[in-house]
Amino acid sequence: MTNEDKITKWLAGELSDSDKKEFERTEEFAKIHRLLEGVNNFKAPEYDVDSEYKRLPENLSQHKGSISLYKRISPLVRIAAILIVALTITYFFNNYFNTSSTSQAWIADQTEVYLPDSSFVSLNTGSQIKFSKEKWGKERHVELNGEAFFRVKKGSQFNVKSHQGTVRVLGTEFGVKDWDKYYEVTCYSGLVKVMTKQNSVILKPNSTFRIINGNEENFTIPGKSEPNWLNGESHFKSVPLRFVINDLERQYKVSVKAKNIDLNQLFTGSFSHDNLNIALESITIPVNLNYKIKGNKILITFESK
Amino acid sequence: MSKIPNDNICKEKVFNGIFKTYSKDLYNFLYYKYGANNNPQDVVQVAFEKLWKNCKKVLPEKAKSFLYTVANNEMLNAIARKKTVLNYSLQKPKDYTLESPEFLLEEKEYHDRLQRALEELSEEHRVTFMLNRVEGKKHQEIADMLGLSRKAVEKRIYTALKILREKVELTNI
Repeated sequence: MTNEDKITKWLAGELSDSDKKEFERTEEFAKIHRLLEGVNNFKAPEYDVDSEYKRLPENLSQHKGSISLYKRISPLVRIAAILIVALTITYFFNNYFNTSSTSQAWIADQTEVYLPDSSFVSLNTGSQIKFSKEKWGKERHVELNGEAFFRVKKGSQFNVKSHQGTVRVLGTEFGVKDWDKYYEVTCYSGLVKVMTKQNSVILKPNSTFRIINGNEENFTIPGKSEPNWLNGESHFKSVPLRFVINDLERQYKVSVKAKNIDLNQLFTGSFSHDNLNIALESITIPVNLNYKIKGNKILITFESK
Repeated sequence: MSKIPNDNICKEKVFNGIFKTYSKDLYNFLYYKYGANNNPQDVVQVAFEKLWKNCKKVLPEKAKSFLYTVANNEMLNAIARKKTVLNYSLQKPKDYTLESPEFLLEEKEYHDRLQRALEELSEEHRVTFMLNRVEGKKHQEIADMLGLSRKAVEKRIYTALKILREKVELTNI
């Protein structure tokens, strides 16, 4: 039995009597025992059930009052009454209170949103999502403009619909990036189904599917568990320069004019989110370009030497 | 149509029974997962208020998962509203009996390291570990609470212990 097995079994109370006695004589056990004893000092404060129950607000007992009146009516009438009220409310709700929740990120910030089932969404700069709190129990459906990272709790089918496609999962971690003519889905864990106008693709962990200017690609990205932008860096692999510049514009709230440049040339590299000058150098130096900053306007040029 | 069942949550007796059964475990879960600074008591109150408001829609056998889902959401939203980094903190341990100064100092340093190590554990590791070792919850109970398999719970407890030992014990294991 490995050491790990022995300790795991001991923790579960599954060691035989003799093995247990032997293990409990070791010095290793003495250290473990001290730690476990110490941990007991951090026990949660006592929870007084009775006084906490009394703390529940007054409106609960008011509600109680209406319930006893309710009890006196015959069951069938009660059922009919509930149905009529429920149907009326649902009707009004659907027609007049079509609420969705829009969360809009300010440029150069991240917004984190927890969906009604505790699924987690992190929005990149300039992106928004929309979802219906009321309908969440029936279907987990999110609309996305832009780019977001999702950590979805296991459960019913979860859909992310953006302009260029729909991503469907059961419970997993993935990123969706949907900007003009650039659609990219990356699966970090679990399985992800990507549905576009052309076809549908199933992604395994550590793989990316993308469509740039109508060209489809599928490749692996080993060793990543979440997108780089969550950690303040934007990474690109063979992406046309125009899209790299678009991301920089969004991230830094600037507008870039390009003169004399092939914006379709492929760029592989990255820029960080905390310094505009360094970010510009990261983009321009590898492809022999120059830049000039005037306020929040940037000019990038290619000057032949 | 059959009779309306007798045990529905809108009856105060039933609601009270559910409160007595689940409130303390829910409180402990929230305390170990999110810490003392995030008002676990108040979140328990909110969860039960929501259960009462929705008493017509929630079956008694679904009450437990309803409460945990609502409580987790409420907690996460409250933390997001505060806009601070999650700051887990535990209450300080009680005083020790009279011992020699050297022993007391070493004990204090050990407990400081242990406190910090517990605070640095991931939420999932910490809640699993504490519910088992300190509250005596069985692996299967914790598995049900967190929506995991029994094996996953076992592994988490072992890993939590390993991480804690690495941080607390002064010599390499």
